[in-house]
Amino acid sequence: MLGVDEQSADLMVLAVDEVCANLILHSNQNNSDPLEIRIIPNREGIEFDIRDKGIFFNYTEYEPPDLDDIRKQQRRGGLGLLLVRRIMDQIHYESNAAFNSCRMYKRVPYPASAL
Amino acid sequence: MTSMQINTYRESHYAVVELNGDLDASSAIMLDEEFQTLLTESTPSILVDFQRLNYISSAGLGVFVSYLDKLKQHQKALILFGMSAKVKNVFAILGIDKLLTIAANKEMALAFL
Repeated sequence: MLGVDEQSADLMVLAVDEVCANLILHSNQNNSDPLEIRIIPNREGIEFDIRDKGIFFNYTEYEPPDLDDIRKQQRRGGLGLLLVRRIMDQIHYESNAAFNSCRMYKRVPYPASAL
Repeated sequence: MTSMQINTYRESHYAVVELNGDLDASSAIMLDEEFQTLLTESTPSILVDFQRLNYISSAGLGVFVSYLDKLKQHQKALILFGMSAKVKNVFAILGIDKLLTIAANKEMALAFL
C-alpha cells in the first residue's frame, strides 16, 4: 500500500515482532492490557510506536550481548534486540504515567511513483 | 492450532526435521524439544528442511545457536536446507548463517554428509 519493497517490509515486521515478544514475555507477565501499535509513515521512512502498560524497559542501560557469549552460554534468548538494532535506524524507549512507548524508525527507499 | 508443525523422518544415517509454518517466540520451544530428542539418539546427522518455513524470528534463531556446541560435543552434523531468501536473510543479519552449514536443497545437504 505504501510502496515499500518486500525485503524492508519483512524486516520491519520482524522488528515489531521482536519488540512485542519481549514486551509480552518480560514486561507484561502480570498485565493483560493489549499492546498498541501505531504505524506512522512519512516521506523518508516509517515510524512504529509500540505502547504497553507493563514494566518499563530501561533501554539506556541495555548492553548488547556478544554473539559468541550467547553461543557459549547456550542461551536461547538475547538475539531479539540485536536484530532490532540492525534493522531499525532509530530506537527509543520512553515512559509516562499512562504507558510505556517503544518508538522505532526505519528509512525506506520509496519508489519514485509514491512521492 | 499452532503456527508451527514439525515432522521428523529418518533415512539411513540421518534424520530430517521438516519445519512447516512460523518459527517464532510461541513455537521455538517445539524445535528445542525436537533437537533435545535427536541429541539423545544415535543418528549422527540432522538435516533441517526449511522449504515450508514461512517466517523465523530470534527465538527460532536462538534454538539453532544454543545447540551448536552441544551438537559438536555429540559429534552430530547439522545441515539446513531449502531456505527462502527472506528466511536466509534473517540468519544473515547477525552473521548466524556463517555459524551454520546451509545448503540450497536436500541433495546438496546430503553431499555434506
